Amino acid sequence: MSKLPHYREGLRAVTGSGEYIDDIPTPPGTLYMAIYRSPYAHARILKIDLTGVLEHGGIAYGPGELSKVIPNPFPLAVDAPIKYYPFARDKVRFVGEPIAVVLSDDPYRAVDLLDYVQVDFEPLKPVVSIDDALKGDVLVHDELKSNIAMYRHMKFGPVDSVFSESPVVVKREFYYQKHNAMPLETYGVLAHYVGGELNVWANVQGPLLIAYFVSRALGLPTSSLRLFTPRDIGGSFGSKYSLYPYIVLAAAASILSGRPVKWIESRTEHLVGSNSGGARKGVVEIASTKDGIIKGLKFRFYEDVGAYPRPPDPGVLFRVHGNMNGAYDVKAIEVEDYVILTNKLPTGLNRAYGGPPFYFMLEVAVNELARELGIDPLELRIKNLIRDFPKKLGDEYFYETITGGLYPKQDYERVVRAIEPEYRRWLEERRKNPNIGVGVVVLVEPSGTNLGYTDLAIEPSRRKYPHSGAGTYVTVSIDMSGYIRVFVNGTNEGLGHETTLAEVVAAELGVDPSIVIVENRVDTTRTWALSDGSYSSRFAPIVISAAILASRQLRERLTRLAMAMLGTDKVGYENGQFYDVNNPSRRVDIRRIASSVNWDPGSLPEGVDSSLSVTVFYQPPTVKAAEGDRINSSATYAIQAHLAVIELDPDTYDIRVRKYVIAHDSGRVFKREFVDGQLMGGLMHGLALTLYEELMYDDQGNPLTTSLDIYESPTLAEAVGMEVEFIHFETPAKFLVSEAHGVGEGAMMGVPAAIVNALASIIGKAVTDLPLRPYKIMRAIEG
Amino acid sequence: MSYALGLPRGFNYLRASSIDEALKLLSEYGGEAKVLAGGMSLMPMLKLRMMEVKYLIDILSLNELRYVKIDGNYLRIGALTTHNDVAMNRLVNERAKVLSESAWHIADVQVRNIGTIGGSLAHADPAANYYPALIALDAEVVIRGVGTERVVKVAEFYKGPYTTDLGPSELITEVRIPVSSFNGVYEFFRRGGASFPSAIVTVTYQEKEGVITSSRISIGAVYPEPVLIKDNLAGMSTKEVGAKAVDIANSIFSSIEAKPLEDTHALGDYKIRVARNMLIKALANIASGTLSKPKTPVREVISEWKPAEDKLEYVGNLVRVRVNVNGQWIEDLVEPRLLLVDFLRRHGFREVRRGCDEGKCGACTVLFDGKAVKSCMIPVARASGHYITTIRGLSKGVELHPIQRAFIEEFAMQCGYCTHGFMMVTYDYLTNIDPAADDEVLKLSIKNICRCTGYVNIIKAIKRASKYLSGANP
Ligand SMILES: Cc1cc2nc3c(=O)[nH]c(=O)nc-3n(C[C@H](O)[C@H](O)[C@H](O)COP(=O)(O)OP(=O)(O)OC[C@H]3O[C@@H](n4cnc5c(N)ncnc54)[C@H](O)[C@@H]3O)c2cc1C
Ligand code: FES
Ligand code: FES
Repeated sequence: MSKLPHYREGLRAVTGSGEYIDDIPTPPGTLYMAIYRSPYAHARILKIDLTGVLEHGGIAYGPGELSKVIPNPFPLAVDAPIKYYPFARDKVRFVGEPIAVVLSDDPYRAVDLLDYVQVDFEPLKPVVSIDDALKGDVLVHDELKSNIAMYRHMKFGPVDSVFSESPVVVKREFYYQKHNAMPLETYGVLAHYVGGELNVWANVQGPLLIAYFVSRALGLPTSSLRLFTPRDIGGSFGSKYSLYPYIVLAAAASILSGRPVKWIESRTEHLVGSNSGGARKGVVEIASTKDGIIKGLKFRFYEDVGAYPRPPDPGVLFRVHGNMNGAYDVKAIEVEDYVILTNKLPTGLNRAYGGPPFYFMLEVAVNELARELGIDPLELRIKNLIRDFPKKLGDEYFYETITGGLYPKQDYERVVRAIEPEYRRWLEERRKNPNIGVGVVVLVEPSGTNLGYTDLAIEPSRRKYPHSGAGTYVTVSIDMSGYIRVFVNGTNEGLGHETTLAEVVAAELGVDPSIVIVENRVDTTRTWALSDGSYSSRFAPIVISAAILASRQLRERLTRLAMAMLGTDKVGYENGQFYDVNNPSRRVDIRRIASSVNWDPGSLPEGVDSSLSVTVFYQPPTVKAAEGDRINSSATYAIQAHLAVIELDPDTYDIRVRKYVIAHDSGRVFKREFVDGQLMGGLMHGLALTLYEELMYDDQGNPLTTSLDIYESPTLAEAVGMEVEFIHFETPAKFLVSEAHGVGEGAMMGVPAAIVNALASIIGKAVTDLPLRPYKIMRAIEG
Repeated sequence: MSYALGLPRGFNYLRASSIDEALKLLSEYGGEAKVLAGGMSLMPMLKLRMMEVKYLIDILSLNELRYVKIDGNYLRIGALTTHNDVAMNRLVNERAKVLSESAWHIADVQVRNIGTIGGSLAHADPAANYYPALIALDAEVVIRGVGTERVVKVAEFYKGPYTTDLGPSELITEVRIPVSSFNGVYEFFRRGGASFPSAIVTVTYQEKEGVITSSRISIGAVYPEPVLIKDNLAGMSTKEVGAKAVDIANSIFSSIEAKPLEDTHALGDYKIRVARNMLIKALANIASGTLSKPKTPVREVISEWKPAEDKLEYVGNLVRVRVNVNGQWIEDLVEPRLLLVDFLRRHGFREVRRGCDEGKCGACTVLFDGKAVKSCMIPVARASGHYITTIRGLSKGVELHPIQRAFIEEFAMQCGYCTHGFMMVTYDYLTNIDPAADDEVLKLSIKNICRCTGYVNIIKAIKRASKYLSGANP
């Protein structure tokens, strides 16, 4: 039998031995929490009566009790007089907003007890759409006096002259729907407040700002919060960042009841009450020469963040701030951003945060420019690609975007041309079968977020402190038996971090991966940074860099110890063994060193550092705080080109993907299978949002999408017969220790435009209203 | 308001060991009882707390209601015949291909393993797959009450969305289809990951020397009631049907007065348009004689539901259950509503996971007497006396089962949350449905949800496992 591939998380998965939040053993006396949620999108709470719950043997806490232990609202990223608490105080602002919690020692009974919560409401007119909100006759937050939580207008370069002088201006309007990346595992929390300490197990995706948000809302010092994640998380895609309000609710219930409290969210709750990406209306204008050279871009975005501007939103607008010119050399950009409040589920991180709506709009508009000018869309893109990277930082060259981004030097044209043979082949096919459509997209994929970009939500003159969080801690140690132990305060949502880190660290130390043990989970009792966690594809550029640095430092220490033990000042190293260069038969291996340090440290010469544990903090060198409205919003950026080949069913107006090709240069590929996995997963998330998934509401703000079935989530059946091809390039990104860019999100960023452009090649117009439900296509065709 | 769903309200659970006992219990408890057949419609409604029942009368082990036979002038199908048997049974395939096709399109292997034809008719979902097929086949339902038996045409049995002619203490015992030689076309359109179709068109006809003598066109999922158009093709040659397809379809749809159903998947005008196009296509296919559909596997025997060995014992409101999991009997005293998924997890089988409230995602899939089912759709009381297998029951100690091996070799997982369910349904699929893992059959059979992998590697793993199970060496 052939040897199994090295894949630790995979082995846990096939043996069913993964440990997810619902698998964490509950302490004796644990109570199960169920949440009473608002049935109205917008209503005043008149009266709450919880006595029925008590009469039926349960425990219940409403806003009155909860307020006692949740004294503070969450901090916001916008400069607005809005208070966001994890429960409604006097007004409910979306269907599903928590109002009260009930507790029982049985999870089924906890749900039953919700029937006895009595709340009287005075329904108010809801604000459902972006257009409703802009009218402003009904207010989601009275204190704000409008439904616009933020307005920013920024200009970079000579926008006005470029637009007045350009002979061609293409303008398109877009709508990108509200959707949720929908991990298969829902939210879960186990909170236990005991002895002045708050112990929390939750399937969050990092300590991040979550530890800060939770302790602040509860008025507890961060020192009393012990936050842990289980070893495995059943997917997150950003969604589980927004778990923090529920951590606070469960913690409050534990504080009030004096018991451990467990909550596992239902799927329906996840659909109505967890998190989503925002709906966005956008207007894009492109100024161009007659032969298709893009001179300027104008964006106007209305981002619907739901009922509260929940941090990190409106970061969704600024995540792409440094790369608003896409892959093109454009030096004049204007952007107007509106953050809109409506009576819907608040938003937050969602895979490829900010990328899919942005590139959908930019890359469809670019395609429309090509169609209007009658230029081949691939050629028009190639013409506009960045070719010069004149800015030198250290030993590397960069292209500095007009908005502050730093693109490292790569051969963009080579990557884009890689999809050309298939592109031409399918254009030929299209001549034979008019129901085949071919669409292309070119983008740069940002990775390794600069948390400082959220500052752009505030006018420069009103910002208090600079921010540039991006770094990570990694600890690499050697135990007494010579096993290498790696610890990262991150999370495992299935990206293969344990396996990859084991291989990377083993390679640096010249040992077999089997002796490297990796722990990758949140534990705030150990060293952690505000920016630690799994998000923004930061693993390859940042976490691996830190792990390599730590391994190198540890090897340095081992070398010194080996010199001391071998009594020489010149040692060589191979396969985990140090040897005296002058007498190579004299050897000492890592195990021997580890053993000496542990059993007989007294014999080591003085002055030699005998610690076999190294903790490194790695901050990517390109990440700095904003200067005015310019910021390098990500540690790095990598080129990517997409080709979508679709087939339109003329009877049902439904679209099937025949073939999808992605060419990209991710710097360095550590484990090909995992890179491919990210591309395939991102591709499917992209298809899901482009073709199927939308969180829908009726005109009263009632959620219509209350099951996976209604959400139309693609199943395995939808993927059978789809062909995918990935073309990898590896230009080392030398300014990063790992030399690698992230790869988790680019696929999803490009899919919407690629599919819309492919459809436009069939029906002669771009359907710019997502998702592409067949009835929209029918109407576009039949008028 | 509660969105905390997926766990049913309390009910009492009873087992009927004969049709008469079931009828007796039904009439005894009047409107407070419902029979539980496959539970694939009833359990979601209970779990989503859209309805409440006081007594569930389990009829699944009435094997006397599982059969397909030709008897007299009828093809007779017992009410508890599962969707999988309707889909795969040789007689159904030979005599009523459109019915087999309609069954292949129902949900996935797990739902088809346990859901029944009688249950589907009684539930009367306006988008149910069977109705248009059965109406086009001029089928009838046999209904029994205490001491009564009557027969109703399927077209008349359906009274509106979720309402039928069935009395509160009656049972459907049989569906029967007149045996005659006809041709048929079944066209089906389902959108994305939605389970139910947006439109179904079924056409059946008989011809003599190239001329159609009778025809039945039935349109489902578009209007609140399935629409039947009788004999409007009669007298035409099949070629003529093809030539006039557009006119025929237009005149049919313009004569229908009912308002189309609207749902989040499809608007009314769109549904009508699609159904019209599908009908045109069906008629064109009749003209060109291209009626053949993907080859789906066929089998002879009807699966039985092993009657539980022990009687149910109630202790107060709790019921004593004994379930064999991976070879070991586990006993517990539980609320009758406790779902198998929770029972398994409470007893340490944490590999079984929950991903939805509605019975859709498949993360909770286990083998029930060797067949894949969704354990979130089964009250554990129903499993009492039965054999449950999880992956730990398939692998031998530390040695991986070939399916486990195939999944890891193809990197067919990321977060791993869906993996167990996928492996279990793959096992049943490759063992009992389609060892070759043909694309067309696979597409109709495995519809579990994975949010991480994009499925590409899972499909590869299923194909690799298919090779391993058919003898290739890992
Ligand atoms: C994920 C999922 C997807 C699905 N997709 C489809 C689909 O695409 N198309 C489709 O048609 N169906 C679909 N179904 C429904 C499925 O076909 C059900 O199996 C069927 O509708 C009900 O059959 P059952 O045996 O499971 O009935 P049950 O759920 O047990 O019962 C349904 C109702 O019928 C009554 N009943 C059951 N049997 C009898 C009887 N013999 N006499 C009198 N009353 C009876 C019950 O009391 C109950 O009221 C899906 C179900 C699920 C869970
Ligand atoms: S949990 Fe059972 S099907 Fe989703
Ligand atoms: S691997 Fe995460 S849901 Fe499938």
